[in-house]
Amino acid sequence: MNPMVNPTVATPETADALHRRKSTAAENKVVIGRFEINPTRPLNVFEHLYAEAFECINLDTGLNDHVAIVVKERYPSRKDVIAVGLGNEIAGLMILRAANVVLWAQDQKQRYVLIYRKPAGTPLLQRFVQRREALSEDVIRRDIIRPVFTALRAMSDRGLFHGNIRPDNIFLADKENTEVILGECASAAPGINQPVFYETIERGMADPGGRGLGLTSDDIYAFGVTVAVLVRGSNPMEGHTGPDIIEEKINRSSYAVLTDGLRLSPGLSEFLRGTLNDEAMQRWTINQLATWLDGNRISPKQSSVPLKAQRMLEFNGKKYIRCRLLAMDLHGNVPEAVSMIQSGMLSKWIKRSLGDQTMADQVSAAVSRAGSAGMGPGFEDRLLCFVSMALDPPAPIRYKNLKTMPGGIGYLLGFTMMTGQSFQEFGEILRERFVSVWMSHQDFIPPSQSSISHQFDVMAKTVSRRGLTNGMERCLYELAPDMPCLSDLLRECYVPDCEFLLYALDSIAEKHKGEKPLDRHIASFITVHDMHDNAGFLNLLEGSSEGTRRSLALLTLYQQLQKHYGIQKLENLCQWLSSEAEIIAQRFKNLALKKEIVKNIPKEAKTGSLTRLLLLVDNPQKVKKDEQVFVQAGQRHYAFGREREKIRYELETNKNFGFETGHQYALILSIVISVVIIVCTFVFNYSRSGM
Amino acid sequence: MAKEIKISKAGAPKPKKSNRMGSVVLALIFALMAVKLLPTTLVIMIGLIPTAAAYIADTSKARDLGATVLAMNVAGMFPALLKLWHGPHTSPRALEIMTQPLMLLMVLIPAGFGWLLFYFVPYLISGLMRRKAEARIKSLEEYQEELVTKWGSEVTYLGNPANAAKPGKSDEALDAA
Repeated sequence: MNPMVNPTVATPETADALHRRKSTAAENKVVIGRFEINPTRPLNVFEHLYAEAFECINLDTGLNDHVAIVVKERYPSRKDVIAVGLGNEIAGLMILRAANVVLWAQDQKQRYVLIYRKPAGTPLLQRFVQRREALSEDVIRRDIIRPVFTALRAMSDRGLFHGNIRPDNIFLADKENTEVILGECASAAPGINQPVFYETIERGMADPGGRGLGLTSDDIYAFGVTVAVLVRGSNPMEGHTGPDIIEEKINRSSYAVLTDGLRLSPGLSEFLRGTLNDEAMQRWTINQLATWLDGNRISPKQSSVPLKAQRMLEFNGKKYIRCRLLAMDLHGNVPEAVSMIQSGMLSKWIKRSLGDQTMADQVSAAVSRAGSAGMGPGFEDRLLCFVSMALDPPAPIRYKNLKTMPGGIGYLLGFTMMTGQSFQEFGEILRERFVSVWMSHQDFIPPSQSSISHQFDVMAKTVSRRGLTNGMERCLYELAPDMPCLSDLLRECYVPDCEFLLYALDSIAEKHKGEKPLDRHIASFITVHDMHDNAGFLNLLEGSSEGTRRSLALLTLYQQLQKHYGIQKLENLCQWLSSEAEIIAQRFKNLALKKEIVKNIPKEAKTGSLTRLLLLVDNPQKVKKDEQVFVQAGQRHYAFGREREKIRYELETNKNFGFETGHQYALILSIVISVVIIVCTFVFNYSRSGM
Repeated sequence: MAKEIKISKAGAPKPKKSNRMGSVVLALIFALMAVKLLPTTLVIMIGLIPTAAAYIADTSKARDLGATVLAMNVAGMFPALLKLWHGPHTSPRALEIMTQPLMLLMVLIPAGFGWLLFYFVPYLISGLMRRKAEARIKSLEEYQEELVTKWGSEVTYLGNPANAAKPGKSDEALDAA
């Protein structure tokens, strides 16, 4: 069963929603179980770039106390968070009541909808007005830090990353303005909506879509930034661009940037120093945070600012004293950067001005590594990518125009595919194993991310292999399991898993009758998301030169899926696959039987059961018997032909045909006549002599 | 099989010897009888001249002409023998009978009829057999057509060992079909 949605709610609703499209479209309201969404009443507070939000009524109580977050187009949602959120109410976190795919009455497209219980109060900060009166330390400690910490610890215990902690996503739980609850994080890719200011330096450097799943320590950092902003009552970097914010944080440390000019109590100062440490290893853990909340003192380490060079390095019209900033801007002027690296100027600067021999060696190694694959096309991009990794190991992988953390490659690839842009760079990143190089630069790999290296090794092979279930599409679904199926066939559908895939194919069947209900996206999606062994069918689909086998594999694949997910009726999909069934029926040799089977296909298709359809055209006993009788018929046909030819040859070539037999007949006749004559003579003679 | 051959080889000399002996004894008996019944022998020898001629003239493998003429020849010779056996059984009488033109005619006409049978019956039989063979060809074609109607043109590929030896070709043919 689908782990993403509550089985008691989601599966029947999906079927309902998809098959009741007319009624919902007419009323312009969408119903999910006991919730009714009103698409005419948006809730701007909850909406973001990748989802809209609308008022939602609980039909049981009649109260307008829920919010429906409707994911736009085919953007991903967080399956891990949804799976946990549907089964449990996490204290301090917005409560998820339902999650499902619905047919959106407005545009007649399928959308993914998350229904949350709406917080009674407002967000702590308005998104576009990052100012409010400063909160007292007592209020912050009691009503903000504690409940948010509770939610954070609950998520951490379940291995979940929030990635969306900021003041405008923290709401007052009730109108009395007491405790707060943390907003949702499931309606978009991890970290994609988080402004750079609330992200750690490394994650802030990455493209929003390429941040990927973070760690609890990243959430703790965002928590620290949130508290600092609430203490101040405003965002100290408001109006600054992302690169400016990162530069400021690198030059002065996050703690200094956020607490500049603030008067803090020793306790809160300790909290911010611990949570805003720019070195992930030195940052407070969730347990240290708990200790602090219990009133114990922890002396956090001072956040260290990266080494400053004694002499500035001029590049692209700007002077640099820190190599992290240089690494960030290296792609700003590729020819100058390449000549600077190849001339050895960069290494000399690192050695002499920074005094960091290790880094200078790493830069030299990066130059050699980039050159080992040849000095032809792509060398400059490889060089800059490897050198920037050497200069700033925790930073994202920077390749051409991409800036992505390893865990974000899948999501970023998905967004690129959705916009129809070229994804060649992703292929190069995977094929040339940039992630392994990135990993080799890291001092510490968290246990939760230790399998990444192996996963990317597998992807390097997958991307190079040909075949329906390999290539970039397969990499997309392997690296971003949250990504819905991006098949062109399913443009109007939202397909988070294989069960929904079947419903979606059923709903689009009438429009796409001339096409096959399978492409590279769907094949890869099934391979990754269906836990059953479909490799045999998928291999047959791409490997077999015989049309019958391909059709049989396709029909069996969907029949297996229907069986595994216990879907009773897929009438339209059955009718779509009827043409495949007709191809399969062609393997019956007996023409009368074949005609009868083909005649019965529409009848079986109407039942909506692919098992029945398959049984009609692929009944093993019937097929075997037909084959056997056909072989016998073939042998008889051949024997008849040979006999016929033999007789004809004999007639044509043998002029004395039948003469031999004729002589024998003549002999017999002669004997018979002779005997008759003798007997007659004898009788005549005796009768005369007797007389 | 080998055992059977061995057994037959081991047992072969004895029957062969007895056969040869039997033949010799039989030939002696015949020779004695021919001498003893010289008048009858004379009638038979003169009467069977057409048969001897047929045996000499017949160059076919089966040598059916002689046998055919013999059967009719014997029938023609029978009245002469009866005549001899009803009167005195002497050589002069045998020669007298066989030199009578009527008797010679009675011997020769059936022999000639036998000869005619041998030459004309085969044409009749051959014609009948050709008709039968053509009818068989037609019915075989009908059977084949029935098979093709029931199983389609693929059935024409399958039984041929030449196609069976090349499964790829057969598969392609099936695909095309």
